[in-house]
Amino acid sequence: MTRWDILIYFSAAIVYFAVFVTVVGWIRYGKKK
Amino acid sequence: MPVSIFDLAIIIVFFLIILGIGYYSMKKVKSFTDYAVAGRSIPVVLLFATMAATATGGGATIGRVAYAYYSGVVIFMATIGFVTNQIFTGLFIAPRMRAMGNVYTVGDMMGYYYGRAGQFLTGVFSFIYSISVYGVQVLAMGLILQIVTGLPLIPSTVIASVVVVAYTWAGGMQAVIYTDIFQFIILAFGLTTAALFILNEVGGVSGLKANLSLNHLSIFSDWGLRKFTAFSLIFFFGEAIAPFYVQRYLSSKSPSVSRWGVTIFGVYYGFFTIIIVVIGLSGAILLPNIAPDLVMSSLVCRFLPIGLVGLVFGSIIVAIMSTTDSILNTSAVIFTRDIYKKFINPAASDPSMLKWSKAMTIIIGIGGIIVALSLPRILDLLIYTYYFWAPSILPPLCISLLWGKSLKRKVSSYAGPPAIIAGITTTFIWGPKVLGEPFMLPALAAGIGANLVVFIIVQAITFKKAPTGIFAPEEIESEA
Repeated sequence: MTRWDILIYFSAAIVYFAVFVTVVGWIRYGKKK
Repeated sequence: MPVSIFDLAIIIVFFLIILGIGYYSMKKVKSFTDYAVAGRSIPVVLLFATMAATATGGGATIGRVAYAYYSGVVIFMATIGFVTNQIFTGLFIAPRMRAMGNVYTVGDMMGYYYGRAGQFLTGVFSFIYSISVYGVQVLAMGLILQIVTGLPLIPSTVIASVVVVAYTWAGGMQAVIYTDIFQFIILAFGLTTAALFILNEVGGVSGLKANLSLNHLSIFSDWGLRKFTAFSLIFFFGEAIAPFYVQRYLSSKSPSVSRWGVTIFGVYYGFFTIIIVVIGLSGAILLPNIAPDLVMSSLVCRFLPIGLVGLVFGSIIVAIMSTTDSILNTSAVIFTRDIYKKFINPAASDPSMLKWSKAMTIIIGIGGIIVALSLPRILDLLIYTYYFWAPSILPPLCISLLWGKSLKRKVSSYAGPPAIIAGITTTFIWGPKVLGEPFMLPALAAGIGANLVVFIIVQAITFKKAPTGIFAPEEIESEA
């Protein structure tokens, strides 16, 4: 794996992680409200 | 190239969910504060998501893919300007703005520092800036829906825009933020999945390296210093501290939330841009010699399976919707707060301001659709909308915010308004239509420079003079 592969797949992982955290955050915020 | 019924159904379901969220939000809106800044209740994660959704519109998706297709990796380098700006804004500007307390718009802040003159100029320019960007997004929505459904441009634009106007009118900033969160989840997941599929089609990174030209793979391509600087400046300043972002900084629970929500968004956006650029680079191999603006939609239709087509087209459409709703809401709030409340009816009550904001949402919403459809070259005008913001409002605003604590007035109130006028006038005169950017200096840079020069001179002359009349600083009302 070259460093470009790592960069691209790491970027994808960051975005997917952001989606996951947002879903969890939204559920928790909705419960509080 | 209309999509399959199954994919169209996915998009329709997205629209219905968004309308449902908007309807649900309507019941939660009880005051102008709810309508304008979501009751100042948004936590870090949701602030991050609404920033990410708002910042990702037609330009950040279709436009960025087109640039990557045409020019290569260099467009990522230029985008670093935007990322840098967001991180700087997150760390230093957003928390200071939120710390000012009961403010709703940039106009409120400029009124605090530079009196009614400052608030008036800011209200007018931020309103013009916002509705111009709104018009461009309306057209972008119409164009993509036209491709997806096969309907002509006018009904496509009207359908997409009416959905946006409806939920934005109903729930204001509450609806905009909640739908932004849903829209972020869809667009981030959908576009990243599309990128990985499409990258696989070209044979991964090794496929990109084997088949792309050296220009496409080089960091600065064949752009030259002048072009690269001009693009980087536009990315850095173009939407810096834009009114529709500021409203989000003010919707958070606290200054600390504003700081971290925006900073984390800035960092995230760099990685997201890499994903978008990968789509464009892959397109350069898979679909050579087509119009760059059609690359994204063509790649989706040709290379993604049914189901994913609907998800990704849905992602693009909701990405643009999430930008459009934010700007529409901001435009209505700016008009209500900076023009109506300040200059037409200072005694306006909270219920009256709520009613006005809702009415303005409809007027701007529908007016924007009509104007966007009447001016086919409106996308070409986007570059001029940026002239209304960075060289006019930004320098005086940033100096006041950054010099001492945000509620400490360390600058002369007289300095801001002439600097604003000098900045925007210089930008237009220096720009392509009049002087044509002499000495290879971009118009934005010339305007910001003129702004700073006039600011410093007036500050030096007037700093001991007590401001009166239209320069007398406004006070921030205490929270109701």
